[in-house]
Amino acid sequence: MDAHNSSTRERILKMRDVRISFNTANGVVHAVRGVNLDVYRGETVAIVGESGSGKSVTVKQVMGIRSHNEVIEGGSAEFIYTDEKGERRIVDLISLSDGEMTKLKGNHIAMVFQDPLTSLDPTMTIERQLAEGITYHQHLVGKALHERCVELLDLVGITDVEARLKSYPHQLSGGMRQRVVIAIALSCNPELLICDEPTTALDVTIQARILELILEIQRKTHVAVIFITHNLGVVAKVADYVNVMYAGKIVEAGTSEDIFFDPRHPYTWGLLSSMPSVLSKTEARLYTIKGNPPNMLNEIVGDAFAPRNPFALEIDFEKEPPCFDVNNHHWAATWLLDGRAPKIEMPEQLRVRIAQLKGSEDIGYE
Amino acid sequence: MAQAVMKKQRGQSSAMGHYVAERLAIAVVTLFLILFILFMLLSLMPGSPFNNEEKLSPDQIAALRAHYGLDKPVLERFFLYVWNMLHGDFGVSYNIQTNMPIARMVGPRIVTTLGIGFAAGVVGAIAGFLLGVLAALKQRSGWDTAATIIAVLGVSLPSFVFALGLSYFVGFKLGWFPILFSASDPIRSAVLPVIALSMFPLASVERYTRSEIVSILDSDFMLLAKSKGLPGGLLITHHVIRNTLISVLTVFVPMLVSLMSGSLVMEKLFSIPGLGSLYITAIQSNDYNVVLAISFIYSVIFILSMLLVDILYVVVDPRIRIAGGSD
Amino acid sequence: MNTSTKELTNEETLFSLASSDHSEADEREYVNYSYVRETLHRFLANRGAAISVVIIAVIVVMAIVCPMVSPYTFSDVNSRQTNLPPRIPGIEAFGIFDGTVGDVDAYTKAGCPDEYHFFGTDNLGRDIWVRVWTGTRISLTIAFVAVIIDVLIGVIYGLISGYFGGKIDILMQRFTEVLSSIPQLVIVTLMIVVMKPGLSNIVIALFITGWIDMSRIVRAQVLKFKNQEFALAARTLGASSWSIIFKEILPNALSQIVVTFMFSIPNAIFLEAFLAFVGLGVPAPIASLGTMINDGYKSAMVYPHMVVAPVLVLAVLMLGFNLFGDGLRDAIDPERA
Repeated sequence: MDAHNSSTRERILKMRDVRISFNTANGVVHAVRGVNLDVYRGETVAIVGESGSGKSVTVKQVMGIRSHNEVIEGGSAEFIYTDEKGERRIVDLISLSDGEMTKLKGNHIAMVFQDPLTSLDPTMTIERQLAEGITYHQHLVGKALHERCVELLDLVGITDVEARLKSYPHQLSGGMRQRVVIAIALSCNPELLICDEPTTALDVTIQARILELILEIQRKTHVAVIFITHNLGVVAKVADYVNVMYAGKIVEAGTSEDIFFDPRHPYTWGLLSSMPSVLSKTEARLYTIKGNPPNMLNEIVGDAFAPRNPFALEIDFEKEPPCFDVNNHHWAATWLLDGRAPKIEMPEQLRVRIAQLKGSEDIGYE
Repeated sequence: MAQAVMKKQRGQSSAMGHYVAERLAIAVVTLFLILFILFMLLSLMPGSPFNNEEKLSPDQIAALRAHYGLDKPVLERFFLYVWNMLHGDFGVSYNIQTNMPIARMVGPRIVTTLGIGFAAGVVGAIAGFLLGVLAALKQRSGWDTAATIIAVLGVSLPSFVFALGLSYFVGFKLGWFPILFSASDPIRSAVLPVIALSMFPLASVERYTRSEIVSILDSDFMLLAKSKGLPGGLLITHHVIRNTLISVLTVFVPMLVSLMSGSLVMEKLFSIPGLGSLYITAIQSNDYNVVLAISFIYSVIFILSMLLVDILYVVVDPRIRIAGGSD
Repeated sequence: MNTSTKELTNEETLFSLASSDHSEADEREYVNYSYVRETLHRFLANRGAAISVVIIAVIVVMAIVCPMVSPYTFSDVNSRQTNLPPRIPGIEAFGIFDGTVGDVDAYTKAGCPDEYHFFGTDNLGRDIWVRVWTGTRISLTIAFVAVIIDVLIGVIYGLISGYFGGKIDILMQRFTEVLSSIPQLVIVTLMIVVMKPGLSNIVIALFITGWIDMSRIVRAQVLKFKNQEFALAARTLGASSWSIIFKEILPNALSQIVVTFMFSIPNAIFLEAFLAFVGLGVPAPIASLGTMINDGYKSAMVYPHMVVAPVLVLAVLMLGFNLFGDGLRDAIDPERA
C-alpha cells in the first residue's frame, strides 16, 4: 500500500464542500454537510459510516442520481477525464445538466449497486442489458458487440458465457448477478467506478469473491474506485484510503493504516471497537456505540457525535471542530487533537486490539 | 424482445402445451360444476315457467311439463341438458318467443355484446394506458392531477351515470349520436355505449399503469439502467414500457370481464339487442331456460378469460415462464 | 450561538470533559408517535380523504333527517301534482329551480303555487326529495348490513383457512375457487330470481358473493403473520390457537380488513343499484336509489330531474366511499401512496 506517493498520482475526482439537503414532510433534512473527497486513478477510496450518515447521497451526486425533493446547497465535484477525441476535460458534476450527465454516466463513471437481485431488469436477457450501454455509448453492433459482451463476462469470471448471455436474471444466482452488474458497469471502460455496498446483500463466502474480483479488475484496468460500506472488514480488504463519515460529514480520513492502526476520532474508535474480530478472543463482550445518530432534521450545534461520545469535551457541544492534520495524509475533525485539549488516549481495549492486529500480517477483520 | 420470446417458447413448447392442457382441464371441470350449481339453483325456482299458468287447467300444465320433460327427476334432467348442450342444443324458450331454440336467439346477440364490450375494453385500455404513462412521467403536474381525478371518477361512478349523461347531453341535446341502438347504423349507435362503458377500464388501467410505472421508476433495475447513461426516451421504451405492459396485460383481461354488469346496463339503456338485454327480459318473464343458458355463457366467458390471463402470464413474463414450464 | 461565544472565553471549562448534563440532547432527537394518531393525521392530510368524510357525513345526515322534517312522505301519491319540476325557496329568485317549464309555472298550473318540491315530483306526484333520501337510507342500509355480514363470514373463513392450513385449507380454497369462478353478477341475479326481490333477500344475495374477497385477504394476512416472531413467541409460551388468532394475528390484519371493508361498501351499493336497474330491486312503494333510477331513466329526456337527483346522490355517495377507501389505504400503507 504505497499508493500515496503523491508525485505519480493522477486525481480524477475532487469534491469540495458538498452540501445536500432534502425537503420532507417533517422539515428539511441536512443529509450531507460539507464533504471533501479526492479520488486518484487506480486507487480505492472507502467511505465508511452508519446508515443515514449520508455516504450514499454523497456518491449519488457523482452519478447525478437525485431525488425530486433534493436540494443542492452548495459545493463542487470536479471530474477529470479523457473524452472520445482523447482530450483531457474537467467538469463540475454538481452543476452539470442531466443531458451532459447522461453522456458521462456508464461511459466514464459507472456504479455497482447494493442488491444484485433487484438491480437487473427481470424482463430482459443478460446480453441485452449488457449491450444497451455499449451500443449507446460506443456504437458497437452485431458481431463486435457480441464479442465485447463475451469478453466482459469473461472478465468478471463467469463461465459458460454464451448460455449466460441468453439467460434472464432470475436464472442466475445472487453472486452471478452481481458479476453481471459489475460487467455492465465496466462495459464502457469507465475511469471511475462507484461501489455502493456491493456485497451487503450477498452470502459471506460470495462477498469475498466479489471483493477479490473488484480488486483484480482494478489491477487490470486501473479504474478508480469509490467504495461505500458500513463494514470495516470489507474496508480493510479493499481500500487504499478511508473516509469515516458521521451525520453528513467526514470526521476522519487517512490511509488504511492510518485509520486501522492510528485512529484519532472517538467515532472511529467506537467503530473499530465495535467490530467483531477473530483475534479478539480475550474480550468478554463486544463494544457498542451508545445512543442513536442525530436526527438530521434538527440543526446540529458543535460536534454531531458529542452526545454519544464518552470523551466529549464541553466545547464539542458549542463549536464544530475543524480538521486537525495528524500527518500529510491523515486528518481528523475532533477537538481532542487541539493543543488545549486534555491528553485523551484511545480506550485501552482498542489499543490492545490494534497491537494484536499489527502483529499479525493480515488484518483479520471479518 | 419478440425474437427472444419466440426462441424460448419453442424450446419449452411441450411444457407449455402441458400447462395449457392442464389449465383447460381444470376449466372444463369447473364449468361442469358451475353448470350443475346453476341448474340446481334454477330448479329451486318457485312457480312454473309458464307465464299464462292461471288460465291453464292442471291437466294442461301437466301436459306442458311432460312435453318439456319437466316431470322427470332433476338429476336426469341435468344430464339430459348437458348431453343436449354438447350437441349445441340449449333447449327452447318458454315465454319470450315460445319454442324458439335458445342457441338461435343467443347467437347473434353474443356477437353484439362481445363486440361492444371488447371495443370499450380496448378503447379504455389504450386511453388509460397512455394517460397513466403521461401521469407517471409527469408526476405532480397538472396532467397527473387531471389523470388522478379521471381515475377516481371512472372507478367510483357506475357506468350508467356516464351513460345517462352522455345520452342526455351528447345524444339528446347535441344530437350527434343516436340515443337508441338501430340495427341499420350499428357503428354510430355503438359510440355512446362504448364510450360510457370504456370509462371503467380507462380509469382502472390508468391507475394501475401509473402506480406500476412509479414503482418501476423507483426500482433498483431502473437505477442501474439510468446509471448506464441511456437517454430518457430509451429508458422508457426499453425498461419502463416493457415492464408495465406485462403487468397491465395481465389485469386487462379480468377487467374486460368486469364490464359484464356494465354492458347489461348499457344494453338496457340504449336498447341494444345483446345478451344482457335478453338476460333481463328472460329474468323478468321467468324464462328459465334462457336465464340458465345466458348465465352459463357468462360463466364460460368469465372462465375462458381467466384461463387466457393464466396463459398470457406464462407467455409474457420470463420469470413465470420458467416456473410454469418446470412443473 | 450568541451565548456560546461568550462562554468561549473560558477555555479551561470548554476543554474539559463534558459532564453528564448533555445527555438530554440525545433524548430529544426522536419523539414517539402513536400509530393510530399518525395514520389519522396522514388520512386527514389527504385532500380526497378529507372531502370524502364530509361527503359521507352530509349524505348520512340528510338521509336520516330530511325524510323526518319534510311535509311529504316517500309514498304519498298526488295525482294532481305529477311531474313537477324542482322548486327551491330562495334559489328560485335567480331563475333556476323556480318550478317553471318553459315560461309556464308548473306549480300554479297544478294548483299548488305555495308548495316546494326541492327535486320536483315523479309521475305519481310523489316528492322526489323525500324519496331520494329515503332511497339513500335503503341503499345504505342494504350495503352496510350486507358488508358487515360478509366481513364477519369472510374474516372467520379466512382465519380458519389460513391458520389451520393443511387439508382444511385446501378444501376451503377449492370451494372458494369454484364459487368465485361464477361471475358475481350471475350469482346475485340468480339468487334474487330464486328468492324473489325483497330487502332481506337482496342483503343475502350480496353477502353470498361478497365474503370471498374478504376471506382471501384475511387468509393472506394470516399466512403472513402466523409465522412471524411475535406469533411464534406466543405459541412457545403456550398460548392457544384462538388466543393467537385473536390477540396476535387479528390486530395486525385489522388495517387490511378495514380497508377492504371500506371498498366493499361502494361495491355493495352499486350491486344493489344494478339489481334494481335490472328490475330486481326492492318492491314498490319502497324506493332505493337504484329503483328510482330505473323508474326515472325512461322519461329522462322529458323530465330529466326525476333521474338526475338519484343518480347524483348515488354518484356522490360512491365517490365518497371510494375516496375514503383510497385515503385509508394510503394512510395505513404510506409506502404505496
